[in-house]
Amino acid sequence: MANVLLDFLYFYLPYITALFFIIFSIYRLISWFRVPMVIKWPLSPTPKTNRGIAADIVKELVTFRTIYKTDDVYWLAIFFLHISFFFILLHVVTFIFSSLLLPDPFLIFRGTIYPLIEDWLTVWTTFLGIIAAIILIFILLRRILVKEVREITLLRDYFELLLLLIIITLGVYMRIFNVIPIEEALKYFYSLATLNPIKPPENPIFILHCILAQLYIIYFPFSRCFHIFGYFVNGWIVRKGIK
Amino acid sequence: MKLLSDGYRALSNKPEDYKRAAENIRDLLRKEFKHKYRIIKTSLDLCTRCGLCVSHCFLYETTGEEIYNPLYRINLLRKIIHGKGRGVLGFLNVGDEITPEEIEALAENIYRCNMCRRCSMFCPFRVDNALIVREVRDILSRLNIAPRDLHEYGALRQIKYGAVISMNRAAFLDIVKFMEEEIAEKRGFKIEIPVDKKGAEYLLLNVASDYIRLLEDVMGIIEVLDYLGVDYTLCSEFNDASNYGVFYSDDYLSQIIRGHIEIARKLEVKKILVGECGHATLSLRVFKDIVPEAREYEIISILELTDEYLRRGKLNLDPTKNKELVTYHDPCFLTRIIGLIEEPRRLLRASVQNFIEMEPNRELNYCCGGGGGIAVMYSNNFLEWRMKISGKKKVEQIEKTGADIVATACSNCKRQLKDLVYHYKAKWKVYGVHRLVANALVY
Repeated sequence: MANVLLDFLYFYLPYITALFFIIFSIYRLISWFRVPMVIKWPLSPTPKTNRGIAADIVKELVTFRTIYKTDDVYWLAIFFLHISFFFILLHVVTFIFSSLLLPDPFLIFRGTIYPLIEDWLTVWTTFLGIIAAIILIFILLRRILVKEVREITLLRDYFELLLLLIIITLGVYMRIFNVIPIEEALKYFYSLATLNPIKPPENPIFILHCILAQLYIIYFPFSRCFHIFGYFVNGWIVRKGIK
Repeated sequence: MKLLSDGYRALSNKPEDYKRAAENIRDLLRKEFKHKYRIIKTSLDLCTRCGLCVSHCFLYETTGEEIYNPLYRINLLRKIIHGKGRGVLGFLNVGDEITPEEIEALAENIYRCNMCRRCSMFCPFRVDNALIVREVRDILSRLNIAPRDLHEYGALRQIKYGAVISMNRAAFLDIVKFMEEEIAEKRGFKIEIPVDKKGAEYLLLNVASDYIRLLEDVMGIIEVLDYLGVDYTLCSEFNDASNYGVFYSDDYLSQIIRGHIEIARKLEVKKILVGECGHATLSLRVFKDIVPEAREYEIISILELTDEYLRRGKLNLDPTKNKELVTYHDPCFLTRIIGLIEEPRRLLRASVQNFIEMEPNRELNYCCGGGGGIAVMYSNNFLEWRMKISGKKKVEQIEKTGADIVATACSNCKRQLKDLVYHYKAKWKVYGVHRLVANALVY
């Protein structure tokens, strides 16, 4: 029985996660675009051209200036949280998908470029992970301590924050204490990507990190983190002027 | 989630109404939000409850009560739509069966939101509270929950008599005659105000209650148009530009827009010119898209027209004729939706000697406290709420400038500001932008 469960977790869950993520993200986006936008509903002042709208959206995306207008401390937190998420994700994705992009990652990527930057990359991502964890704790405290935020916080907000915090803390812990050799993890991801899964390194922290991360990815299309896509949809609607 | 606790009431519905609404509202909301405006669906999905908007809602700032929190409404709506155990991972949604008390709290909440959209300005995702509020009001109005002042004394009267103030043709013609005499007395020469002239370029629609309460403002518009030689006409039927459907009901909204378009067709005008009013401009400019036959008409605000003439140098103004200190109040709909921000300022700077800005101003300006139809709601003890809670911030803001005249370009704002002057025994006066412009004209 335990074996069946482990098999499921090691060999099937990653694919189920990927399917869930793709299908429900698309479903969610389609459900948005199926709703008509009968009227124009801008938030003036608006840019005059489509190019101006796009530039405005990108400017906001890079600087987070709307948040800065209200609360500079919170802006600092959110800004660096997104930066660290971006680089951590970039790192994880290149980690996992370098095997897909490059013909033989162990020969080319692992053999030439990676050793040159390995130490730096380790330090850099660990640093970002610590930053992200601290900021998440700050956001959690803000939710608990500030009256106007506390009274509107739902249970799921705490759930999402805690889940993220645990995933990141586990990741940082593995990085700092070198819990598993990186090659082992890479081999497992490579096998998953080539649809020929092998057994992952049997370390409880690594397994837990992977399972929680997958839980998060499954939950992603229904969570508020879906604002990654919604930002552009809403941003475009309100910047389209009526003049 | 705390429910309504104060003694103010915007609505005068009976408990049975809320009970019936509680049974039907979930299906209606689900259906409506799936098929109506995209921004409502994305807004409800997008809100991350970061709380950045909260401190920018002047109602929350004034009261500090949970029910004025902009997110209170979104949370309550999500709760009503999803319920307990519904949807994927529904157990994470805090929610139960809907109680009549919750419906009452929701109804009171949406009729206290000024729909000013100041919160959206500070939302990173531009979550739109105003349109959500409007749609919920629309759904509740179908369940017979709507304030008497908007529904019975507003939209229904307008459809029946052609004007919210039930002004008939004879009374209107009388007022026009009176205006001609007044202008002749003031200017020293007689002008003719065209009524029901066929084939004119513009059909001028003013808010009908302005003909009673703010006749000088209407006269200002007419003087300016006459000075510029614009080919315009007034109409003797259905001459009320206001449209309370904007605030609460799609059904009445489109009926009234159709009424306006019918008149425009009958008089064979080319464009429709809307007088100084925020929601009237909004109804004809933005919501005309939901009425297919209205799309052919170009809708222009009087501010845009006058400003264009001013920029072309056709308007000869002498600012020394208005010596008092003037400030401008940005009407929310005109500013944050239509985007008429610099037009009134250019007009005022050209026609008054001393102009001072409120802080904050332009698209970040506070609402007068009468937005979203609240300015016309007097029933129960709502006037007191409107004065003590809703309008407090605006009074403080105006007092800080030390201005003698508050100029604005919205009939609703003028009504609320005049009520505020009376309530707080304030010293400033409320003028329409065109009244000041007309006063500065050099013949």
